[in-house]
Amino acid sequence: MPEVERSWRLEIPSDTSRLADVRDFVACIARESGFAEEDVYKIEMAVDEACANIIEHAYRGEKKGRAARIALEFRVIRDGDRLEIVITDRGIGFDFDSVKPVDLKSHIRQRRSRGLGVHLIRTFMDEVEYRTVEDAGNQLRLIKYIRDEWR
Amino acid sequence: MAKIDISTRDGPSGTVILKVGGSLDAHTVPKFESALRELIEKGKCKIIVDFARLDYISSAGLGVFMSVIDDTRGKGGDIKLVNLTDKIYKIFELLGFDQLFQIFKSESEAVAAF
Repeated sequence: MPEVERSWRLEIPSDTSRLADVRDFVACIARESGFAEEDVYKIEMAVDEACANIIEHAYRGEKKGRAARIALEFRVIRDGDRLEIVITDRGIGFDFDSVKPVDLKSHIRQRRSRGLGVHLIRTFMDEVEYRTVEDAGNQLRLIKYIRDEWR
Repeated sequence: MAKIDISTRDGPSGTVILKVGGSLDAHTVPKFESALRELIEKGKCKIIVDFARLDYISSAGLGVFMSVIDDTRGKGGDIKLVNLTDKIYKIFELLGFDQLFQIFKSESEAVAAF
């Protein structure tokens, strides 16, 4: 059995104004779980990227602004040195695996500002899995292990 | 809600210092991008960005630097970064951004590098 398992449902506007609150919330969980500040920041960034992607892409085409709201479900499972964060949304699915590794120099040449989010999530988390489950929405599973040297 | 503070002032030797504080995330990045592009449009392309009071940067923030850096370099300028906190410097290093941008400990070192 996992040591701790908790679930939250956050209902936020379908714009990026509340991302700071999501980051604060996740940073608290990571700190409580015993991660060092450097890893707390990485987890915070990975979740921020995931939520920004959901807001900007999964709900694209829908009414934007503060009046429109979206629901993000978070399930956090702490098991020993392992923290698993599952973010579920019910927007348009995304082909996560089709995103190729980023060539930063080519991004600069093309003056591209987008497309770094998945690269960042993969760099900062130990395991990443994305799947769309019929009737259950899109699930992004982010896993991070507490490094021994921080213990 | 994320907050961002931006201020600019002219520095020595034709440089301009752009100070950014607070959070540079998907919500606040349009304001920062406008400030940066406005400088470039005015021909102020030797830009030093001071990160001393920046607490957070997301990929949207990093992306802005990537999309405008060649515009400044093409006009004989550059974007040099100073006063990064240890936390943000580490992120730059892990993502390989320290290979793409010149990072200095102080404004005077960045000015001297132009």
